[in-house]
Amino acid sequence: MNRIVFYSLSEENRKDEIMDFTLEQLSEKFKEENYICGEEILVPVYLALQLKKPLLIAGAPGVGKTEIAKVLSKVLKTELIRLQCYEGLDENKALYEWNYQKQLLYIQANKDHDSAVDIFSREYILERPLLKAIRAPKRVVLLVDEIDKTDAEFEAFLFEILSDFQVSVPEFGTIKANEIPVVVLTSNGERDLSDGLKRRCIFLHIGFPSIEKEVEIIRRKASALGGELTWQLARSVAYLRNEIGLRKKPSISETLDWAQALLAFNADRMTEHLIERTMNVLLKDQEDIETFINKGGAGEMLKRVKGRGKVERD
Amino acid sequence: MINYLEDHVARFAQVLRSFGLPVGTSEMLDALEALKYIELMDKSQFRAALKATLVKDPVHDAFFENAFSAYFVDPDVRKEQVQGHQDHLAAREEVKKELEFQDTALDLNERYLDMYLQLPDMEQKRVKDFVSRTSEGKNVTSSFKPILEKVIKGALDYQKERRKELRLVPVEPVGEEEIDAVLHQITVGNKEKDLLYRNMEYIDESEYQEARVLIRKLTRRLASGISRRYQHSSKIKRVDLRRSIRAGIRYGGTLMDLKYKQKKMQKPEIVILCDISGSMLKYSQFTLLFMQALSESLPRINAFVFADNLEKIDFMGFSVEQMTQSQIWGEGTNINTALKNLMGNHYQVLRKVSVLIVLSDTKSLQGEEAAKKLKEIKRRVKEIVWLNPLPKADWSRYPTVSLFQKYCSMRECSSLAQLSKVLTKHFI
Ligand SMILES: Nc1ncnc2c1ncn2[C@@H]1O[C@H](COP(=O)(O)OP(=O)(O)OP(=O)(O)O)[C@@H](O)[C@H]1O
Ligand SMILES: [Mg+2]
Repeated sequence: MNRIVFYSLSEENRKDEIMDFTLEQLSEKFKEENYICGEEILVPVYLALQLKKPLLIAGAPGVGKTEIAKVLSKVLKTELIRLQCYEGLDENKALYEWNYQKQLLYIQANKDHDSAVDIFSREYILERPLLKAIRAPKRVVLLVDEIDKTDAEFEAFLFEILSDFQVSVPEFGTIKANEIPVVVLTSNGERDLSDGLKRRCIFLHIGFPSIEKEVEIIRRKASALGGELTWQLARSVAYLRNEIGLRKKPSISETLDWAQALLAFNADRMTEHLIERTMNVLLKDQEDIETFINKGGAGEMLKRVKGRGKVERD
Repeated sequence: MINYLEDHVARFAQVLRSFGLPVGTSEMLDALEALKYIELMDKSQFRAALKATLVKDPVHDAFFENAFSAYFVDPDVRKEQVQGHQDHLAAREEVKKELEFQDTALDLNERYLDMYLQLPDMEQKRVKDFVSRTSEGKNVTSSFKPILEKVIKGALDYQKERRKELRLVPVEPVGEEEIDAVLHQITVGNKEKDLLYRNMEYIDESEYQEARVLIRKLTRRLASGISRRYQHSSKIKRVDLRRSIRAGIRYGGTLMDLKYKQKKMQKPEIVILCDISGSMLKYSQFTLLFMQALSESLPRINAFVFADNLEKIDFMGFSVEQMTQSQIWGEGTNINTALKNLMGNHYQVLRKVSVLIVLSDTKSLQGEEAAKKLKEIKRRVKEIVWLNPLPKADWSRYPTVSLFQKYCSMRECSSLAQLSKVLTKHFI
């Protein structure tokens, strides 16, 4: 029980390559890849793999959604194919496009004689991420990043693709995936996704990490920062997120940016002056900066996060 | 084992559904499948597996957690829950007996009975004494009963308005003892902190800041939805290369005739009228706050407040606190005067692309006249949407509801969740 079995049949159907993990092993692998999380994240990831369903990850910017797909591709030792979504993304850019320059060149070169070459054939196709994932010889991780940025029409199209992993290109028929990819979709919640899509997916909502987890993350990713400073930093960020009602709460990536900024100042302890000089890394919205100041600014924050460690004024 | 699990998952899904979570068969099947892959005895894995398969929207997280901890309990805790629920039902029966008018129970629905139950002893006694004195009064015939009922309901409504601790989340009982006990536990037994689903009336001043943050979130989502939906009308047309090439083949591959992708739609304009008399004030404050945030990305919003007259709101410098302080209107609500004033002095905002939103409990003087005005306005605008904070179940008690419903689509709207849902439905 409790194991993932991946039969990744190679194209020639020769040998079964089996990778199997338990939940505990998956947890170990995530740690090895420096992704710090508990069962609230691991279980949905594990279930998506086991049930072979897409994993839909929602959460505020910078909480580590995209990172999960990257880590998964490393853990599964396979390629990561990324479809970055944006407003106006359409089928052509996601699936395939005709290489129209090549087509034009051909047509112009041959305009004086009747030629029978089909310019709508494989040779003239430009593969985009979805087709690439479908045609990959081996199981890949397909990351559909920020799906909420696209429109409902594109979402419906994607839903079709995710249903059977086959596409038909009118000019030469149907292409079906050798291996169903591991699919990760991410969303910042800018728009509600369709019920159909949500129904098909295993859902994971990532919230901000606890202070302890964030300390662990800083240790992994900005290890040069001193122990006490690391704790103060994590507590400061928690204070900013939970206690003063900001419009945009600082993300994990902003925590890490702040850690880098403190390192750049060669800081070994937190001071008001230091906070004031580096605050712009954490708070970017003018209204938020005002809120921060109105709620007592650096002085208040420092008072609140003072632990057993040394915190001094300068 | 599997049957036992199936049973629990199905019942738990029913609890979630009672709170409006869209949990269907396919979610349930996924949940059962998922349970095969985790350590069933490990509660946090078990919870995570159910959550990943049954809950597909982060705003439902808090409900899920509440429901999970109320549903999956030890047998003796369950016994206590069932007992607690039965006590509550028994207490309701007691109340019915306490509030009898000449040996027949007053016609009070469960909501009113629960309201009474949550009053402090002193207040309960006052209500009770009033009923018995009336009941025994000289020359009081049985025809008095409906009048008394009205008075008592009024008194309870008044208490509810005054007392913020009376928080009642209405849930339909399922009719199965254990599930109903769980539902009861979740609704009455917890400190519902979720601003999104809270009746706006009970949002406390100390929570305004949190509420503001929540409103921003909701409006940001709504605004981006609206702009995405309507963007194509203003944007430069995009060339459809594929169609162009096909067409161009005939001319030796020269792109003679560019084909375009196109869509066209006109952005809606909102005219909103908020009733700020008496019990409507809180709803209007939050709705206007919502509109103010929305107006940052949807500039064509005209907002008005009314009680016995109408006044235009300027979103610049508008704040909830200021509205609480400057109550310059009288007591009565007169929708008719408000509509008349709107048509007379603000005629230009009523256009074919506008949606008129009215926020009011419909309790008003001159209802018939107001309905006529609505009819007239309806011909000028795209649509009239009425937001009514009263529970839908009570609408039939107010004749103005059906009167106004002829000319508008009326929606129940007492929480921020409902507000954003209604607006999403109408504009995206
Ligand atoms: N649990 C974690 N453990 C270690 N590092 C993390 C974790 N979560 C986030 N990070 C770090 O934070 C950074 C931001 O993460 P990521 O880009 O995945 O965020 P995101 O949720 O996709 O944000 P956006 O919505 O802005 O795309 C990454 O560089 C990652 O290294
Ligand atoms: Mg990302």
